[in-house]
Amino acid sequence: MSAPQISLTVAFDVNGKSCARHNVEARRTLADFLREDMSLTGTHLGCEHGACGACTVLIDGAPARSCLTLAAQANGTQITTVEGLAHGAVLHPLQRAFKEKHALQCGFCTPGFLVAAAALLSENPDPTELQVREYLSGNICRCTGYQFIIAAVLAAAAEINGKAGSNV
Amino acid sequence: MLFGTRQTRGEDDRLIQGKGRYVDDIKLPGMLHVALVRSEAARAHVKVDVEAARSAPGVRAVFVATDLPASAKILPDCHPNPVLRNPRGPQVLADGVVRYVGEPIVAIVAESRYLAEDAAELVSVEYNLLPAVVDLERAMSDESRRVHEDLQSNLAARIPVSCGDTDKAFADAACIVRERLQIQRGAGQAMETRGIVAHWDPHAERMVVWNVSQVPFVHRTAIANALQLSENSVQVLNPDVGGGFGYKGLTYVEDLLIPVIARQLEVPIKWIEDRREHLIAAYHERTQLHDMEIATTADGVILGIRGKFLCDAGAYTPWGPVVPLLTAVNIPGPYKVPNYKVECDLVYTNTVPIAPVRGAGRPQACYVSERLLDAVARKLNIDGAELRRRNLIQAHEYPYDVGFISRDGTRRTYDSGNVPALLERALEMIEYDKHKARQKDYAAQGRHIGIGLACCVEDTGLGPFEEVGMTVELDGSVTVRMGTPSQGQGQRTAFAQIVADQLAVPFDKIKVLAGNTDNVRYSIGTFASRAGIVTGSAVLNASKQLRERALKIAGTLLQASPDDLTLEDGGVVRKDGGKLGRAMSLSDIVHTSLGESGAPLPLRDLGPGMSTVASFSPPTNTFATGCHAALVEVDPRTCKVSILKYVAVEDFGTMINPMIVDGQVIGGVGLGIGNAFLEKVVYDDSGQILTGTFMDYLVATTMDVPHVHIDYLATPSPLNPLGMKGAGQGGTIPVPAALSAAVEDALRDYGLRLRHVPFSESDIFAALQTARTGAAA
Repeated sequence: MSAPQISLTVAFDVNGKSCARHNVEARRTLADFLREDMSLTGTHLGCEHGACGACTVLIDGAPARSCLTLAAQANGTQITTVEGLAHGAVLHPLQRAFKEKHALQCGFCTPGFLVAAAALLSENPDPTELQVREYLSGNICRCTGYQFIIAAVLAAAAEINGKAGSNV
Repeated sequence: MLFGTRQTRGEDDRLIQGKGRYVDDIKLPGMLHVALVRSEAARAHVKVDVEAARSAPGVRAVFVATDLPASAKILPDCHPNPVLRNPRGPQVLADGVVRYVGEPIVAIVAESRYLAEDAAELVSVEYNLLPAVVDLERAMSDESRRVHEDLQSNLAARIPVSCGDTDKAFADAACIVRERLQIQRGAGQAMETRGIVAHWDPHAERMVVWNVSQVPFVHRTAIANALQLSENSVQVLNPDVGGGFGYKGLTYVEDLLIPVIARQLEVPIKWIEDRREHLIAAYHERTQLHDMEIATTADGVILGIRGKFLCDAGAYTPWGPVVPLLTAVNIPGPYKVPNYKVECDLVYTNTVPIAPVRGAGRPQACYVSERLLDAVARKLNIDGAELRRRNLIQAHEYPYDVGFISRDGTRRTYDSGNVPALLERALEMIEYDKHKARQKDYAAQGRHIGIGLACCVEDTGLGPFEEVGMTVELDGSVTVRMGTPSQGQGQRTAFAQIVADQLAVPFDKIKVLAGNTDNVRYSIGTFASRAGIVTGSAVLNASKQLRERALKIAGTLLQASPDDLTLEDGGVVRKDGGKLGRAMSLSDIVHTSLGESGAPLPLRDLGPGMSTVASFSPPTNTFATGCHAALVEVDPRTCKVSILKYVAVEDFGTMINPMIVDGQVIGGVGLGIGNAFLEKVVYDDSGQILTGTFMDYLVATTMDVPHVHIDYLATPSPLNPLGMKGAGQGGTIPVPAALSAAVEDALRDYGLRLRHVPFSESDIFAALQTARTGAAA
């Protein structure tokens, strides 16, 4: 049933920029808010029930499903989307590694993987292959079979840690 | 040379920064959003009341079947096939009768998706339920209800394929093995669901449609017919597409419905399918039940294979009988099967229609032939690898006449191949002899380790043609226009590699445009592992024409013979290294040959500019082959399967970009692992679909797909100028067969028999119980 919707004011930082919107419907998801109201279409909706991970963003540094988060719930937080991973023209090591290792094909799940992997590396800068597999097991990719995604994350970790001659 | 190198992809810079543009990213001024009300019943007469929805907030229009023009009521069969005796196209909106859960009944058009979904809940559908036809065998019984009441039975098509004399082969056989082998329903489930944006462009006076199609030209025809427009009044565009896997290569009722709404309302319309809709209403594949037998000599040499199988069509036939037809012609695989007879019945049920999903009937075929061979190996006590050695077509026997007519109407002939070499390489990589020799030791340690093998063929690179347009621009950059869109395969990269070599232009100065029906005049589309071969060869032909033209123009301008010239670093040089009268870049050639505005054309005999259109038509399909080997460990207490090593040895002929091909293989294996263990669409007896979320329909994750060890041995195809074979599906096809064999081998002491995929831990447990009871009885 369509019931009268409560509207709220929502204010948060997205990729380092503060933003505020009034009259945001309480039911509006963070994903729709980012994609439609902020035009940040890098965050993708793969399942809208929290199973595929394509919509993963960071809320105060922690990975979250933006399809299951209401925009209002993110009020007062700092949000990072795939558009915020690069520093200006300098790509995040994960982004470079994804290209180098052929860790993407259609690219639809890629933003979710990149954001989740960025969270992993900030929690654990030197993960083992199994740790990478476990951390990314909530993200689904139908194209790549994951092998090169895992290789890319390990390569980026090695780069961040200044390890030369990564063996992945 | 860029051809054959692991060139990183030109597509990726956008995609890794969140700058991709998928259909749901398209926003047009005044755009309205559609939500669909779908059937909750598998078979019913329905009455619809939409009055409450019409007056809901934000609703601009509501469409039911009677609102559609006669030309847009039923989806036409875009690929008619005479074998299909009783075709039935899907209803664009259900008109009084529904035939599967998920069939669209009402379209709500509203100012936002939220409001459209609110209004959808106000639609009242009264279901007068009828018993559903779900079980494949029961559907073929005389007593069965019929999915289509106007038909005499649920039979959509009967497909016979045969060669030789199977009666004699079986009469003469020393060993006959029969198996009932079942493959359950699965789905493509690309990470991007389907979606459409359509609007009437008043400037160009035509319908512009963005969608996720693998076959935009097919869609253009279907949309033009539905709207009663000429084809030049419809443009179909594909932005970035988030995976295709075959089932986006068909036309769906929504592909007609959304443009019809946009035309009637004269506003831009967007429909984005959600995952639940995708799981219950996008085409599925795979359900087949095979009763097959194999006859061999005492040494295990195949004398014949025969049998029948049923293929579940679902409720309609949007792409005719292509899936079972592919199974029927692929069962002999890379083996010598002198006598073969199979008959398939394509059967209507009250379920989602089926369509090709990556592999397309071939995983079933491979499963049948490999499971039969494993059963023969066991019965005759011959090692599985040795049995395959005795039956594989040998390298010197190619080209090999399989003996019957193939999918494309030509005599099925394997153009080239060397599967025995693939098998030996796979055995070496998996360390077959070592592990086989140690199996007793492993068992003594309480470890249950087994190896499975599977070899396959794949008919790839189907005709009839693809066309490519190519232009050298004034600045010397090159634009390539083609009709086969990408769903992630990296065509922009691969085809630029071909052009770069032919025209001596740097990779990043080549732009490959696809996904726009204005790009070329005619096209078929991206499916059946054909774009690389067919479009790739057309790209080569176009590049060669421009290369030749560049040298001709340069020869005229430099007063040299074109034979003495070649292209290097974006310009013309002398082959002998000698100095030219003046430097001449591709840009100079284009400038000169185009002349100056208002002046006569300088090279009147040669015509203006450096632009061409070329096509390629393969004489028939070329055959890719592969051999996969799996080493698994199974814990008989938990029935948990661990893949210790997975090997894929593939023959895709010559490869443009092995990095991209690696990705195709590994991704294909990932789907195959899902098909073996996880992916199962489930209907209950009333036709309710029980797998409507990703928590129910399971796909492989990082925890399921192991490292895939790949090697390639190439026998270049003689059927195209670059010697290519398609690489899109080979990764998937043999996986269920190889893993079934490996798990059976690991639990051989328990007498485990696997006769269906997917199989879960629970299924292995149940099969072990059956084996135990059987042994006790």
